[in-house]
Amino acid sequence: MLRGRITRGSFSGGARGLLIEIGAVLTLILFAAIIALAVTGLT
Amino acid sequence: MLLRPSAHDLKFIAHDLGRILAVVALAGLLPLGWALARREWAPASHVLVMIGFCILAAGAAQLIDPGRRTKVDWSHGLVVVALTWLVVPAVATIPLYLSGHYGSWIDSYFDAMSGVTTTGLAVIEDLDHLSDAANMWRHTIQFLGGQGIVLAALTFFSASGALSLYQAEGRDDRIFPSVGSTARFIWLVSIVHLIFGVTALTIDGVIGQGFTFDRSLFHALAVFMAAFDTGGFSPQSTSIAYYHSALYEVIIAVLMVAGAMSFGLHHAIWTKRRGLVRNLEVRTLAITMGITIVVTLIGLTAIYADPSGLVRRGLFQVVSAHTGTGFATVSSAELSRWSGLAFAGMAVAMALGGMSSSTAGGVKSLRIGLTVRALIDTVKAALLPEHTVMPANYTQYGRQRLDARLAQSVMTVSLLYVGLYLFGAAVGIANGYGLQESLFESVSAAAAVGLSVGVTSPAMPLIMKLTMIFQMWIGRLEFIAAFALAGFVWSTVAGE
Repeated sequence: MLRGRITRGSFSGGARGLLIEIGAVLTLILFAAIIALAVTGLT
Repeated sequence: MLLRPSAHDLKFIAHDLGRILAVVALAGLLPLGWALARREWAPASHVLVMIGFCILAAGAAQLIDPGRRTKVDWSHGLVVVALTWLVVPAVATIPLYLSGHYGSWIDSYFDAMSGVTTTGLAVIEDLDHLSDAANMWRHTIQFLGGQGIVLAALTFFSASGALSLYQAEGRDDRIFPSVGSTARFIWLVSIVHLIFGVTALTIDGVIGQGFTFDRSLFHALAVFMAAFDTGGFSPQSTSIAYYHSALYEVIIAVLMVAGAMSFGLHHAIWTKRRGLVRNLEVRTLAITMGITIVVTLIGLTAIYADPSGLVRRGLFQVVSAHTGTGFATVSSAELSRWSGLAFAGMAVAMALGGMSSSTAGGVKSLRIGLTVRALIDTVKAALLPEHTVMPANYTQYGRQRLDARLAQSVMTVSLLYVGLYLFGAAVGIANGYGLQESLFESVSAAAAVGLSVGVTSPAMPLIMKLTMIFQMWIGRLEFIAAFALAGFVWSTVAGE
């Protein structure tokens, strides 16, 4: 039963995980860009 | 009173180590297959020597009849794991040493230890002319080490005491009731990322960089194994700077972040579990990553004037450092010029590391979060009236209790990491290196990161190589298993 549950949920679960990880990296890039613009603008 | 281990105990340890060597032989099939496909006959023979040795040793170990296992205690699991992480690099060294790219056996053992512990520091000579098969083996041992050598063995062999072996390897997560189911889930997550990572990197290699398909596939496989398992070995000496591709760097960053996430968190995301924003470890990692990015970027304004260069170089290096990967898009010489705030941001990011039960090293976000939480509770207790009852809870896949015993254990391990960082730095300074470079390299080794400011090289003094081998080993084992092995050795000498 456990193995079946993993297999059934694996496709959507894996896709969701990847989307969140890609989102996290894009957020980091946006965050770093804002910081970079702020510090280069100030200096 | 110490009890001397019996012959029965030693037979069990040999029996378990034999099964682990069988898994190393199995892992050797990947570089062997690659070597045969590419007609690299000499590297193929080197891998075959190792596989043959592993099969012989594993077969001999299985001939030992340890009898019925009556009781498996924690110390057995800890000792087997500590020995595994010494023996496997020694065996994995065979194809590396025979490749002729190492000045001595210690140099090849250094790289093998760096590989299995997913550190990524390397003393190999002329990496750019290493055969594809030997290169594939370097990356395979990183993948094996990152997944967990013992975990890999438990996937193939059932063992009584599997839980003690699993947890002794530095994994706290019991995602499913049985270790076997948990191991299967860990492999499933890894395979999903492998399909995504290798496909994306191969396509970018062919379309964006003009590689042939097989060359692109080779680089994609190697880089995936080093990125998802936060290893940091690269097929080329210039690391990720070799590819000159922003998209390649973004794909690698996604894989590094995925590798630094605990498999418990992967499971929580896959099963749509709620409350992840309140999760102490997620919050801690987000906050420390944010702070180290800000500090490093501010420090880098003195070196990189344009914002795009600042973001691209600064962000990639901090993510690589914080996830414990060790990939670089700048050279060691350029990294050594990152002084002041940039150095501080990078060193702290490396020291903190990723999540517990992930493939990352370092103190780990959960320990940092719990230490800060315990500190806040202590200050609160001092300020509030006497006899005030304060709840000491934290959120980590549900509400957990932060009691004094947990706080003490977390702080002890955190302190041991700080001690290990300082110990390595002291050895570097004693060998004539500067404080900053010694500290950087020491943290990089002990936290299994792999970034280098140029100290790590074949010309490094032997004592430094041995110190870093020790740091990589004990840092990966998170101390306890190494202490158990020391106690085991002492009990064989002084026990009754």
